[in-house]
Amino acid sequence: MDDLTPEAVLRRRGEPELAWVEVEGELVVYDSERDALHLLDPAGTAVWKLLDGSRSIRGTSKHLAGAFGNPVEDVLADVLGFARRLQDLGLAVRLS
Amino acid sequence: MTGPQPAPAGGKPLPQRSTPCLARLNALEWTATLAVRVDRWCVGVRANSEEAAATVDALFAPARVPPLDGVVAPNFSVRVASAEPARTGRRDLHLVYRDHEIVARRRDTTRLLDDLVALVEATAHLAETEMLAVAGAAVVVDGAHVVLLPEQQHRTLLMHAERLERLELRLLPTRSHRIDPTTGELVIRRSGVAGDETIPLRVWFVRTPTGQESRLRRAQGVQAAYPTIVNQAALGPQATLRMLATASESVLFHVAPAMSSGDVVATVQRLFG
Repeated sequence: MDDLTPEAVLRRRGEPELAWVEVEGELVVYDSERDALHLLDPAGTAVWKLLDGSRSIRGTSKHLAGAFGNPVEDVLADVLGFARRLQDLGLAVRLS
Repeated sequence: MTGPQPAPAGGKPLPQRSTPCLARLNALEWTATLAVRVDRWCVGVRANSEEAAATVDALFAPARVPPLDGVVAPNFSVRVASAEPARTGRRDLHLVYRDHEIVARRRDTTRLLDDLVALVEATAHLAETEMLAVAGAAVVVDGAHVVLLPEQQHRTLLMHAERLERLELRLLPTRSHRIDPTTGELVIRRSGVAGDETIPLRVWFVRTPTGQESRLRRAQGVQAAYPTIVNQAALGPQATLRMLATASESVLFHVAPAMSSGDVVATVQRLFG
């Protein structure tokens, strides 16, 4: 699998393959193709919501850094790691 | 080649999985298998005597489908014990099996038949679309709250039903239950009485890979409870998750540890006794 760069653009998969619900800041996601359930913590949920295919991973990181007042480079490392995990699980697809 | 066949007028026969245990049960003496329409299903109920079969016939009279008697699989089996004491000097228990598994055992036939009606009616939960239908062992505490345990523990609790009742803990006979997603209440059909009984679900024990007894965050609980929803196919995954999230707003989720029968009763007693 190709490695993600900060310039990569990902989009979360949606219905009908995935169903999800937010519970107290955490996201429970059901993947009907793999019959698998996933739980995203609040940070993962925030990233998930921003992966709509409209911005790069760096852009997503900037957005989150601005919202939480953290340095962009610190946030970028976390978002990149989380995006790789989502891609591995088949919960997000790379657009570019 | 033919296309999909419409459900027959008597309902779609409820399938049954063939197992060695079922073969042993089949080898016992049975008088008749009666067909009963439950929602869109046709369910088979067999009995071990002419008298028991006549009672089952009368019990389900409005929903009976006589043309399918003996044609449907024996999804439920009713064994009414002999009035004579067994060699041990004690009277045997009256039993209801679902497939090959004992799901009700009573000394009182009236209570056994109440259990049977509830168990057969629960079959319709598979097609329920307005509520969540969940598999589990439900214990009503002081008539005020419900504790839901994994379905596998129903059999264990059933063996302690009388002990539980002395503790004001009422084990529901069915192993699937309807939950109103807007209120988080268990909706219990009362046989012979108009209207449903609703009791808030307060504690939900779920199975997780780790198995330690501990509180779960609600999202973890929703994740662990999802596989226990028996009407997922009728609801679809998105509605199932949404209903679970709403229904569990006032629920405390715990991990269900592997427990002996005594531990199960003790745990319920410790929480609410």
